[in-house]
Amino acid sequence: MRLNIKMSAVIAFLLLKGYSAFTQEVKIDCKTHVFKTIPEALAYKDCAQKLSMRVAKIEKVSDKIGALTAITYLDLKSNSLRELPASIGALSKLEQVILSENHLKGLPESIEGWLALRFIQLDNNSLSDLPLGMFKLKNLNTLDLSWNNFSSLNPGVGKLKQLRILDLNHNGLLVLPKEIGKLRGLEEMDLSFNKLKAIPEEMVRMSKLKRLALANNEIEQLPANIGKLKSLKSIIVTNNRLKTLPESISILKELESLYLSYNQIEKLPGSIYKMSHLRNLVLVGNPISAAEISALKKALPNTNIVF
Amino acid sequence: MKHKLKTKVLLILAAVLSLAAGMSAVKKSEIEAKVARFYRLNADSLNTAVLHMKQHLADGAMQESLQEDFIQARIYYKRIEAFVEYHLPESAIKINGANLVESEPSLPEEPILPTGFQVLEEVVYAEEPFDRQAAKMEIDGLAFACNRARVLGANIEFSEANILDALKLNLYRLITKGISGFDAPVALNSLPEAVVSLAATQQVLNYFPQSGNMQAATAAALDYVQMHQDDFDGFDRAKFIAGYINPLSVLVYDYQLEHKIPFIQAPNRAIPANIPHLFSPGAIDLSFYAPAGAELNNKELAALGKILFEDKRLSVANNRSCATCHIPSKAFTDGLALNESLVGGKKLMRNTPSLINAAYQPVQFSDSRITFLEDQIHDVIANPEEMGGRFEQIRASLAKDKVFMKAYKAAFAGKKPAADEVKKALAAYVRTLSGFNSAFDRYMQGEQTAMTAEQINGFNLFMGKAKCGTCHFMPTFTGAAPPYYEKMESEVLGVPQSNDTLNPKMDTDPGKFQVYGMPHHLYSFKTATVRNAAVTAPYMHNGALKTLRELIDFYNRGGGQGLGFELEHQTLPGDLLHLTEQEKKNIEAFIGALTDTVSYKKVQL
Ligand code: HEC
Ligand code: HEC
Repeated sequence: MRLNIKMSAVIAFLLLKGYSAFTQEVKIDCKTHVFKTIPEALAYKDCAQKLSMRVAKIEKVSDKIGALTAITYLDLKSNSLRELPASIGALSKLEQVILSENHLKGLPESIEGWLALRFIQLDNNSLSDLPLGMFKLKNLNTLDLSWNNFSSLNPGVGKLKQLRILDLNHNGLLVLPKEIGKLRGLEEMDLSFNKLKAIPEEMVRMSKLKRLALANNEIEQLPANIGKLKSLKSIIVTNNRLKTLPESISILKELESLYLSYNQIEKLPGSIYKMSHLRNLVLVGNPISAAEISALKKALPNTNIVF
Repeated sequence: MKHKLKTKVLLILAAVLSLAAGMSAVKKSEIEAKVARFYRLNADSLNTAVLHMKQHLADGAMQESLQEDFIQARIYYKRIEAFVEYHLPESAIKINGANLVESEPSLPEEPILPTGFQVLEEVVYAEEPFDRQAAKMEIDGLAFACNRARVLGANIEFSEANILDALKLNLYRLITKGISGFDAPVALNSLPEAVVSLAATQQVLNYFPQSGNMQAATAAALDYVQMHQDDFDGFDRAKFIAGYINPLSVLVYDYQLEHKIPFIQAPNRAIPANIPHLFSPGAIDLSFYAPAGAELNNKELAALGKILFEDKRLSVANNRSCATCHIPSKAFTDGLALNESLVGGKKLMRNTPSLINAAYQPVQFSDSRITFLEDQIHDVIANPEEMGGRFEQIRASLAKDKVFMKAYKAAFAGKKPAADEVKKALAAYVRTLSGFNSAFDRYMQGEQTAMTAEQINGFNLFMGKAKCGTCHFMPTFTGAAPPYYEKMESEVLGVPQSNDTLNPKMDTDPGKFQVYGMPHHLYSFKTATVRNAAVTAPYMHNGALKTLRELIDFYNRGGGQGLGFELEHQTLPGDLLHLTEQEKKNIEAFIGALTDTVSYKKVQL
């Protein structure tokens, strides 16, 4: 009996397989062909890998997208989407997703199924929250959330251990969760244009961080142990409320550029005179005395000092 | 041999089964095909009507004749509005979006001008010399959008479930916006349009088998509007909603249950599909407004929040708790115009709002600067003028308190309260503060005697002649826009600095402008709730208006423009409302029917 069911299943499978083979034109190479609509891709549903509906004026994504389980690349940039269907979570082979410039208010919890996801752009939407499922995407290395409505970030973000690039510029962030410090592999972090008053001390554990952008926030001081961010190449803190810098900044041997324009810095820490490896030091718009500037110029002859 | 036979039997069985499935699918897809055809025909008519109007304009037609074209085109739109709004939300905005300037945060200086019927209406009905050029531009835009809805409409995937869902949402749209004149403020053709909308509903319901009950209820509602369609001011909206539309909505709900048509799962929606009607208890899904991972039914967490709410240690000098300003016995307000700032003997910038139903808003604060209660709480505690607290210091002092720690341990596993946990608990408590069992709610749930005749009359004014309902949307009576309630509208009213009407001065608070710097947001404020307003004087973001009567008078004279302020961007129409003394009294009485300051107490914490 059991055998029979298996047999009929095999027959049915072969029939279906034959059918789908029959409907396919041989010319299309699923690996490289970029499908432009869901119906078009559905004709190759077991092999279609790339789907781009960029600037296609769509306002809703069909439920049927869930059948395209071989898709690895999905581009829905610049449409008028307000939501995604839950079925989209079935695309478990997705590696790259571009959802920029839509009107997304939220994402379905089912995206926890995107286990192969490495890269996602969600910039220019109306997001203020992420589904918890997002934090299960252990392969994610690039997350672009810029130009959205986040005023806080779920602590779950700390679970995205593979993250290398995190872009949160132009949101309304008031605080960051301390869990963000768990992103030890992070290399680039853009937090410009938010409402941050401080960044968590825990962030100094991001020992691979190369670029930290904090421009246009309300930051009053940087973490005392900032010197631990030993890979840092550039720090951008333009337009904040800094009065001084932590002494430990001079330990940053890789640091090339320090942008400090438009803060309230009167005096720089003594240790900065030792940072001869610094290429750019931008101090425009701070109440620093002319005497200090000339002393700096003398101490750091190879640094381009802009004031 | 025997095996083979069995295989055969199985295969035949499978074939029969799939055939049967196919047959029921035929019946189902018949409904879908009919609705698709209905959509196509009406979308074609809509396009033709708009093109007609375009031709007439080119032929030099007079304003009156274009007004007729306008009304005709809208009628075709109303027939498919349910589906355009549901499947093509962006097209719906282009065709019949509010006449309000928008802009994207990424391009704050570049206003996105509104398009569609509501803009065209102002041009076609304008009293000044008729601006043909503007009319041409608007009609062209409308033609483009309608064509888009026609073309994209061909790809809509109708299903029984989404057809009924769209119809039901459209009923909500009809009662919250349609009959208030929201989308046809000048032509005031809302009631004849309601007739069209209901006729279309009936036609679509007719495609469903055994739908006699629903059709009859639709016909009854239709008859009722038709009977009164020439009397916009006198139309009894309370009776229409409670006596006709809510029962119809319940019948659709029952039909879905009976015929096992699944309810659409829409996690991104404040009003779920599986509720009987818009005013059913619990109709609003609170989790829609909470961040992922918020625990809505965690009593221990809310109980901890209540303790924190009353705990002065949250403030810098240990002299202020949340309850100092949000006083529970005053519906969580303070009764003051402005409370004291902690800094320099000043007053706070804004009036303390009630917290009852605050959780049912897509944004917090009168400038809408924050989405979640959790973040709002951070803002208040850390704000040097309000509480000036530092979370590190708060944690330390709480951790020493044995009584507190007992409540804490019931809610959390940690050793010491973390900042995050304090916010979570406070937010959980504020989420328990709901009040949706007012006389008005009970009336809408079928208790006909719950509102007095005066209050019913006041409701009808609120939703009609006085235009309040075009901004304060039911059932929350805030600016959260139905039927999705995801977007909070802000408006420019021109609120004065004080209640002095002889020497009025405009308030200088820039409002939402402060958040994104978009010019059209200057002086705009979140449309606050009217629920509990009878007990939360004084009013407006600055507490300038002391009584409900002062507030109604303010609206009656056309807001700030009526006070003589030059406010180019005022979104409140500057016209007089011509409310009589008795009408003002009735509106006040109706606002009294929105009071519920007791329901939240039933939640045992
Ligand atoms: C000094 C008085 C004061 C204290 C103390 C205070 N608030 Fe408020 N609260 C206000 C004022 C004023 C506003 C309006 C601010 C605005 O709109 O910009 C407000 C707004 C709010 C809102 C937004 C309501 C809405 O509809 O937008 C919430 C929620 C809230 N407060 C909760 C709390 C909690 C929780 C605490 C304690 C942690 C607290 N408040 C402490 C005065 C106070
Ligand atoms: C153009 C949109 C609009 C219309 C029409 C409108 N309101 Fe308002 N209403 C608002 C906005 C916006 C606020 C908040 C104003 C502020 O905070 O300065 C508000 C505030 C209120 C409040 C005060 C809430 C509080 O606690 O401070 C009440 C009560 C109220 N409106 C009742 C009415 C009534 C009654 C009418 C009809 C006569 C009406 N509104 C018409 C937009 C509108």
